[in-house]
Amino acid sequence: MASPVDMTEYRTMAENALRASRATGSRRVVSNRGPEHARAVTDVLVTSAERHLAFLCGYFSSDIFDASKTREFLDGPGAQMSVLLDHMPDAAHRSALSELGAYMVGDDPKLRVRRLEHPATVHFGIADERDVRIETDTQSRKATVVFGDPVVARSATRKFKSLWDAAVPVTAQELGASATR
Amino acid sequence: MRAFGLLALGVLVGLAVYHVLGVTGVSAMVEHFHPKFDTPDLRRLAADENRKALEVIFGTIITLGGITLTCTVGYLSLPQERFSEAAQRLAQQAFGEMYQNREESSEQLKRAQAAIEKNEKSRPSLIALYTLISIHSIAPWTFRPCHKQLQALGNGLRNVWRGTRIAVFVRAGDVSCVAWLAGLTALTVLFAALFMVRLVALDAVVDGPWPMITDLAQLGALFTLVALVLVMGIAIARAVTAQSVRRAIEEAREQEEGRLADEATRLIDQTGEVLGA
Repeated sequence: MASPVDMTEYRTMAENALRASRATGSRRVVSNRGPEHARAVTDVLVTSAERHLAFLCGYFSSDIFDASKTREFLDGPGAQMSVLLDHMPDAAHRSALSELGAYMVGDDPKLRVRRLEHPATVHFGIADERDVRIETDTQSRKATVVFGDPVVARSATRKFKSLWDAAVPVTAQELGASATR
Repeated sequence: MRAFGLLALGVLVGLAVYHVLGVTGVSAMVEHFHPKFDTPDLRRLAADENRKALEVIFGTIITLGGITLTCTVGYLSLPQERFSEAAQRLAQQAFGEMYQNREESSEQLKRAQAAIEKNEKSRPSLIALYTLISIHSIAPWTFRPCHKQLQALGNGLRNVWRGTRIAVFVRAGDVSCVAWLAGLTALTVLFAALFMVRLVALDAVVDGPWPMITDLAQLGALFTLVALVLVMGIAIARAVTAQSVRRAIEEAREQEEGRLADEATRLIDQTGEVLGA
């Protein structure tokens, strides 16, 4: 298990890679292994996103996704988030979505959730159609994070849209999510 | 550490000013104006003592200053980062969780060995091993770290030589190594002076205690000057080596990142095919 110091270093490394990709306009790649790295790098993606976040994930696990950081993002002007789930959360699988129900209601909700009919072999997240985290092994949470590569981001966005269109909408009630912020 | 170097230099300058203005200046004033130095013999004797005192003071200042300057230059020539985070990331990719345990160098070595035994002799593995050498904590006199791993990588003596070169130049900038060098210089000076005093140049009976110390200080100045030139030479060579390693790391990083990004894109495309999207 990584110590807090190691995780701070890892997070700093991911933030620096993101900053370097913004400053130079070039691609930067970071590897991530295990749930702690996954959480750190997902935090970096969520906090750096400005307009749009899209995630294809298992059940939006609260072990990986920080509800308060996601809330901060969704409170921003014009922020939109789309989440594609492999399966519905239950008592054994706690989802951070249960704390975000308030963003799923209304005619134009900031948070939209859908469910795939068949589980995906690969999970990924896209921030502002610019930065992508691709989980190549969903069990061990091993992933590759590509900052600032428009080719990879476009490919992921295209795939996400096609999967999104074929998926089933999920309501806050179905997730058992609270409708209060 | 920079602050310590500057502080040491400040103290030396302060000592020099104190001695020149305080001790020597006051002695000169006393020598000129005190009635007891009215006779020419006493005046000459006092002037001689004063000259010897000055030699001792400046000799000591030069010796201490030389050692301090050697340490300071050696330390300041050390680039303040160790082959950058790109190398760390590459090492992590090549050897697993290296980044999480950077301080545990022996553990890292085992991982490096395991990666090499698994026949992962790729360029990133090699660069990662060089990075490991650069962050591996070793004694300053150990010039062949990771020797087994380097030999296991193959490519004959070239790898071993390059690894040794990196280790030497990285160590040369380390504070411990510079301190070691300074200590060695001081010891050399002491033995050389002792040798000079006892066997070659000086006769303690004739010259008395002052010239012995004076010559010791002068020798110290000479040897620290040699050490200073040596450290500067190592620093320059080290900077050149670091530059070439950094460039190699950057190339390997780009290759590795390209490969990872391509692999990730391919996986995303395959996901759609599996789901029939």
